[in-house]
Amino acid sequence: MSTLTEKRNLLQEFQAAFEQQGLGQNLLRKQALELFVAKGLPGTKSEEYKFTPITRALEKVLSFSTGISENVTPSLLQTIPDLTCNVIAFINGKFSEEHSVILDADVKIQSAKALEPSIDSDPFDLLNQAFANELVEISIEPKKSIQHPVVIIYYFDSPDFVFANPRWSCQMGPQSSASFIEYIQCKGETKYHNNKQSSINVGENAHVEYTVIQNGTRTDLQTNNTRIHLESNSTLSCFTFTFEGQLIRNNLSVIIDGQGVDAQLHGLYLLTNNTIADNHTVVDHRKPNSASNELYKGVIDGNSKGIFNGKIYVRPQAQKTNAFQSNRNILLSENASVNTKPQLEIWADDVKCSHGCTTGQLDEEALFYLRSRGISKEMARGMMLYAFAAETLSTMKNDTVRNFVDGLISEELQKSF
Amino acid sequence: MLSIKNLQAKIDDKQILNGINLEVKAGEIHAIMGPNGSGKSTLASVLAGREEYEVTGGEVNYLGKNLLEMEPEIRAREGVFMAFQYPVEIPGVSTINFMKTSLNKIREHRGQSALDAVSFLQLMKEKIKLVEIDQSLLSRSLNEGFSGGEKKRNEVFQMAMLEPKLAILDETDSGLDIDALRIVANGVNQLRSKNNAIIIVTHYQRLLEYIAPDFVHVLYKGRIVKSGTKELARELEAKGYDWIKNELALA
Repeated sequence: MSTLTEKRNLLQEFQAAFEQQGLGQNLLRKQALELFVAKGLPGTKSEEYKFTPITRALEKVLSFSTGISENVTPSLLQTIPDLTCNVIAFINGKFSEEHSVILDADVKIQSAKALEPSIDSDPFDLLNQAFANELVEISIEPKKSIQHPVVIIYYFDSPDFVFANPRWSCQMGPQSSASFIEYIQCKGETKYHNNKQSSINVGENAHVEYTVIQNGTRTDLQTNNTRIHLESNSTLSCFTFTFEGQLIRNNLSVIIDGQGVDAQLHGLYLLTNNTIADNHTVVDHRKPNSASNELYKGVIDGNSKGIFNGKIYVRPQAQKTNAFQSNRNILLSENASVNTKPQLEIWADDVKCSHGCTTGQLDEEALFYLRSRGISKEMARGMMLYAFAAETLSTMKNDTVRNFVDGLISEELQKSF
Repeated sequence: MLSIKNLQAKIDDKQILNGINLEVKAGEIHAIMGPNGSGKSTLASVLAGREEYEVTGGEVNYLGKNLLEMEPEIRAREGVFMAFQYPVEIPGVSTINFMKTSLNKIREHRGQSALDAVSFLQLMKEKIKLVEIDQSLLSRSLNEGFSGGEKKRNEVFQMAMLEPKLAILDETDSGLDIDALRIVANGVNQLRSKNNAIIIVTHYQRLLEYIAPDFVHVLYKGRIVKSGTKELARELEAKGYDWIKNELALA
């Protein structure tokens, strides 16, 4: 793209690295790379990335090291405290069978073939497909209810920059249920770009809870392409929490491809330092009689920036759809900012849809009310921000995970206020 | 207990209080009445420490200390309580948790130990009887979705929990139907003691039918222009505020 600086030509570097790693023998990868090159990296004029300078960030740090170790001490891999769970581990971007732990026999893992790349994909999705080591496929048999959550952990430990392309998918059979948690862990000062692609296909009458916890290092760069496909009478409860990182872009697509579906999307970006967190969500109603509800909240302090773009499509045949979206933000400093944009495209005529977004400061009147009852200013601020933020996790079913995230919220709020 | 001398205050560039003088002793109930815009709520707000108001002159002495120098939370911990004219809705903060935090902060200030969960609930159950408030309401977000009457009863409930030395009721009767008014007044009456004082800010005389004040003051254009007993309130009700205005104009 023309907006790239003269210093580096990242597209050429990606191509060279692709050749060097001998990835061109696989035709699908080659196709993906060609499509990626044709699309180019998004510059500041790109409509989808105009607030998110990911290309500039990559120009500063990206490097392709070959000697990245996959051998790490397993004890360093930690999931959420007190959580008994299945673990699927990606070490420096590569799936590690050795460090993955499957407790529930009904969770099956195998290597799978990639699908044909599409020109409609996000450039980072194509980049992932070109560079991903393998597609890890998780399958859950019909009618099986998976007792323990499946934690997908991205672990980084390397002296060199890691350009990581983990890729996984999950097939959930009809009437099954499972919960997934994605989590990044990093040893020391490892610098990385985690360019993830994942998909979950949720069968008829199946239920899924999907939680993403983004609390990486201050130099953490992430681009996540996540696709969830829902069939009739299935339910989704999705949570995306962003606390720390340099630049995080989440593309979350939820495709409602059946009747009687209930999709709940919750998001919280609680940014206290110098983080850019960008959530682009798509809820695509393709069939009638389904419901979606989306609530994303932001608390933004320091020099941080929040971006929310919420697309809702209601296709012509998706009559009797209920689709709601809300994005609410609190800005705590002069330099904090948010860009929010709801985008509703409705072709069906018998639907209930609404959206709303608010951006403001803490309510001074409410602060005074709390203070007038003996509560200090700092504590009153903390109480109000906590109450604002914690609403996003109130419907989470797993107590251990909810308490963990609750703890992260409290910690972030105390750290900075 | 409270001694206000020549208190002057403004908001933005508008001077509202033009020299208030008031002495309140323990055990007394004072009613501050006056027409709209006379400065009644400003006086309550200045006493509670609302920051939008700038004190431009005078002094307020509370139990031997300069009240105006204290942060709002310190005033509360020292025993000042304001029942809000418009109690604020705070989503996500339950009344119970809020009251527990509040009470324990005040107890800490008094050198008392924090109440444990059981004693707190016991105390709460005892106090909610005073205002006939449904306990389930208190587990909900503070004032969120409460009716006008429920909000005012919640204010009196909080007052009962915190046992202030000086309570300021800012138009607590506004928006109340006759039953709610009786309940609120009853709650206040039961909290009345020889050790505490209450200032009732009101536009109407009707609350004073239920809570008998020792003194009634009429505020007009930021000054107390007339003081008397509860008979004064009745007279005002009968003659209207124009009576005072005319009297002042003549003088």
